[in-house]
Amino acid sequence: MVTLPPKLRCRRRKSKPSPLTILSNDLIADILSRLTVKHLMQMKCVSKSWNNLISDPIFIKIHLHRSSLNPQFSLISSHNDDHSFVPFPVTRLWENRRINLPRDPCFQLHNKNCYDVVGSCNGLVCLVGYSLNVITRYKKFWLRFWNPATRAISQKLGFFFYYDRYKYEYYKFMFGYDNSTETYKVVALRSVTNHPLSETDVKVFSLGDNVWRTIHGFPAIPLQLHFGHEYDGVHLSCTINWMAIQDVFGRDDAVEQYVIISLDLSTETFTQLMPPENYDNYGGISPNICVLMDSLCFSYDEEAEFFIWRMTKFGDEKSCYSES
Amino acid sequence: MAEEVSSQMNSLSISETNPSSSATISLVSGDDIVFKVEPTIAKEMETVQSFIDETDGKITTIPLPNISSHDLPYVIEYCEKSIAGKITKEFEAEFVKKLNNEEVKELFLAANYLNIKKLLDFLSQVIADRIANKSVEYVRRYFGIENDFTPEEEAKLREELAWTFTGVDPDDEDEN
Repeated sequence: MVTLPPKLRCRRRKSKPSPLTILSNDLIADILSRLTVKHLMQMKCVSKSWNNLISDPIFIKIHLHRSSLNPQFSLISSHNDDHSFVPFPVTRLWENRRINLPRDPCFQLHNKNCYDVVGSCNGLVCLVGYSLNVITRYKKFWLRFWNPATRAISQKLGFFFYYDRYKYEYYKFMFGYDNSTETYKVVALRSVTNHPLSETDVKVFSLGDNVWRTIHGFPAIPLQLHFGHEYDGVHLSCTINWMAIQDVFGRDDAVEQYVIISLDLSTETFTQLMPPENYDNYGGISPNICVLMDSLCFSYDEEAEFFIWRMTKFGDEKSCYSES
Repeated sequence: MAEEVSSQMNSLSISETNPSSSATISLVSGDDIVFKVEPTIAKEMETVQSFIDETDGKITTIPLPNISSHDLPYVIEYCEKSIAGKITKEFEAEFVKKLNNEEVKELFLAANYLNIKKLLDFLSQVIADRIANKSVEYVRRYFGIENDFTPEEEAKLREELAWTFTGVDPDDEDEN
C-alpha cells in the first residue's frame, strides 16, 4: 500500500519547487472558450499568442458554440424615442424577476445612427437606419452589424433608396444566417397593404459581397401590420417564414386560405407550407407563427382559447404537426 | 468526509509489486509506482483501452510515463465514481477543493493524455472558474506565460480594450 498521507505529499511538493505546468494551445483554447466575452477581450493583453488565439475564427466558433448553451435574452427598450438593445442571460430572469436595465450609451441605437433592431443571429445584431428627403420623398436605408459583446460595429452598409410615395407602403427587414455558405443575410420585404394587385417585393442582402438581390415570385400576400412586429417573418434553421394569404382575389367563391411562405436562405427560393389540417379559420382571426424550442409553431387566439401547433419536422407540414 | 476519501484511496489496492493477473490492469506511473485497477476503469481511459485493444489484451501492464504517482490516484478515483454513475456536483466540489492550482493543471494534462473526456471537460471548467474575472497579471502568473508585448504595444491594446477592465476581481494570493 503506497497511499501517501496528505501531509507528506505537501512537504514533498514544497521541497521540490517544480517548474509551472505548461498547457498546450489546444488546452488553453478549451479553457478560454468558457470565459465571458468581456473577460476574454481583456485576456488579449496576456500575450501575443493569446491575442492571436482569441481573434482566431476557429476559436470564435468554438466559443460561440459553447455560449449558445447559455441562452441570452435581448430586450429592446425605448426611452424618449431612443431605443436601446440590452442583452442579458436568461438565468438572471429566474433569479430575479425585476430587471433594472442599464442606461448605458453602448446599448443605445441613436448614437449608432440607427432606429431599429432587425434581429440577432449568433450574437450578431443587425440594425437598420434611414433618412428621408422631405422634398423628393426619397427614403435612404442602411444597415449596420453590431456585436454588443465585443462592441465591434460595422460601417453603414447596403444603402438603398426607395420612393416613399404611398402612405401604406413600407419595408420590413429580417435577419438570418445561411448555414451552407456561412453568410449572414438580411431580407427586405415590401408590400402595399389593402392593395391586392401589387406584387410583393423581396430583396436579399448578403454580408460579405454587400449586394442586394431581388427575388421574384413571392407566392402569396404577406400578412403584415405597418406598426408593431406582430406579423414579421420568423427566422428558423436557414429560412425566413411569413404568415400569408393565398392569392385568391378575383375569384367570387374564394375563402381566405392562410399559408406559410418560407424563404430558403441558401437557395433563395420560396416554398409554401399549409396550416395544420385540423385548423379551420372560422371567426376571421388571423393565425400567427413563431419559433419555440427550435420548431416552427402555428397559433391562433379565439376569444378565451389559445391554440398552438408545433411542426416537429420543419418543412413536413402534412404529418408532423402536433397539437398542444 | 475525510474518512470517506481515505477509505476510497485504500480501496484502489495500490501495490508496488507487479503480479501478473489477467483480471486486473496495472498502470505504471512516471515514478515507477504500480496501480492495479479493474478493466472497467481502464475502459474510461481511452488511451489505456486502445493500448490494450492493440495488443489483443495480452499486455496488461501499461506504462504512463507522463503521469506521476501523485496524480494517478485522483484520476482513478474520478473514473471509479464515473463508472458507478456517482459524479455529482457535491462530489466534484469536494474533489477540487483538495487541489491547488498546480495540481489542477497537472491533472488536466493527465486527463488529456489519458483521453478521459468527462474529467477533461470538468477540469477545463474548474480552471476557467479559477481565472474568471481575474486580472491579466494574475492569469499570466497562473499559466506561467511571459508577456511578450512591448510596453507601447500593451498600453495601446489596453487603451483599445479599456471598457473590459471594469469590474475585475482583486488578485488572490497565488497558491502555487
